[in-house]
Amino acid sequence: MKKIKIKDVVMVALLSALYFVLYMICGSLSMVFGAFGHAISPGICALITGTVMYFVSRKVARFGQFMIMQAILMLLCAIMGAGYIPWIITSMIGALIADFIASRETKPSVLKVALASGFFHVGQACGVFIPCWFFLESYREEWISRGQTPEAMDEMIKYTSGAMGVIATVVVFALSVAGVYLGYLILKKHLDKKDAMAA
Amino acid sequence: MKALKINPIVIILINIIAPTMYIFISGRYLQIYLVSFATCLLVLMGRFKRILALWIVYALMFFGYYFSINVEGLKFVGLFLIVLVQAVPCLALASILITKYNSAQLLSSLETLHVPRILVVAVTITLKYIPTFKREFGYILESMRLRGIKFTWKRPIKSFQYFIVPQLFRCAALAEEVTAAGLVKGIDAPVKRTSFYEEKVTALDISILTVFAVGLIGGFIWR
Repeated sequence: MKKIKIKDVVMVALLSALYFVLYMICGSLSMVFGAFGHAISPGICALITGTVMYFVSRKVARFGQFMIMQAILMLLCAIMGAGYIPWIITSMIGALIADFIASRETKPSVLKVALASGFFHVGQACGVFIPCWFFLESYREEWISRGQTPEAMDEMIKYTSGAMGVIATVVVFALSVAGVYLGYLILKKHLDKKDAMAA
Repeated sequence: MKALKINPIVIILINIIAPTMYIFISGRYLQIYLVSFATCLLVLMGRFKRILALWIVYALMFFGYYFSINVEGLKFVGLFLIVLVQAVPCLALASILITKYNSAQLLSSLETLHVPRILVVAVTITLKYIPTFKREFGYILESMRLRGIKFTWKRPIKSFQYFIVPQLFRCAALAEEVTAAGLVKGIDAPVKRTSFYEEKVTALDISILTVFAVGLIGGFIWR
């Protein structure tokens, strides 16, 4: 397990900026799909940002890379007024699991990176699910007071709790895995070419 | 009136605390309070164009919300806008962080929070890099135009590849440059960092945070 250096931190920071921009775009677009789109929005983002995750695992390959990436994202969201404590906690736990899966080797397999991305994004998705599981009533009333309609809130709760919550989690995980494989397909020849040139 | 100089840490703290308070106090009160507080803070900082932008965006979002919430096919737009509108005052303040303060000022102030240095460096780099994406995307589009390549929805993966691959390798190249510049400035030196922009917390900063806290306490009384 190699220790993370300042060069790796800079690389993760720059890639996190790219991830953040894509995350914001995908997050906004997923709203088009209504309540279910909101529930699986981390998965939609993961499908697009899987390429970034794969690139991080190939270019940085240090333990803690996903934790730093997630911490940057959470801090940025907090600074921009979108921080939410349960979301931050579950996201960081997801990133820690991702690091244990795919950051202990220099060149982890695509499957390991895909699984890591799955846990990374399920951690983010749990931030949406946890209020519905643990503080349902106050969460519902709070958002209605902020302008959401009761029907919209009930629909949102429907997709984030019970069996639908489990399905949404599985969908997020599956989309995250698919995103990394998409990244692998896109980057394979580019990274192979770079490796050949380095050799 | 002379524009006041506020420590960036004050803005960062306000933006971190404000959304967290939605769990504890009335959402409606917090919305009104945050818009008013952000407006006053921007007035003190002499950022009048930013205030105008804040109010125009805020008003347009509310207009969009009330318009779309009653139209069956556009309801999702309204519901999205009402989520987004909560963050507008904080976004207005966050934009000041990116445009008004340079990297050295942000580094100095973030270090006072006693966050690990790795994270401070990383967040500062990310904050400063995000606004450059529009320009980077412009470069990619220009290169594609010169090569006669077009984005097309008929081949979404190929089009996405044209966008993401140059961006990723550009990040990798830039990482080398930024690291070299940072190392020259002793960014990894295991000593306490000093700066030309020594960002100390002043009485003004404490007053602003106190007023902010008092306003939040008001939210517990509001029912």
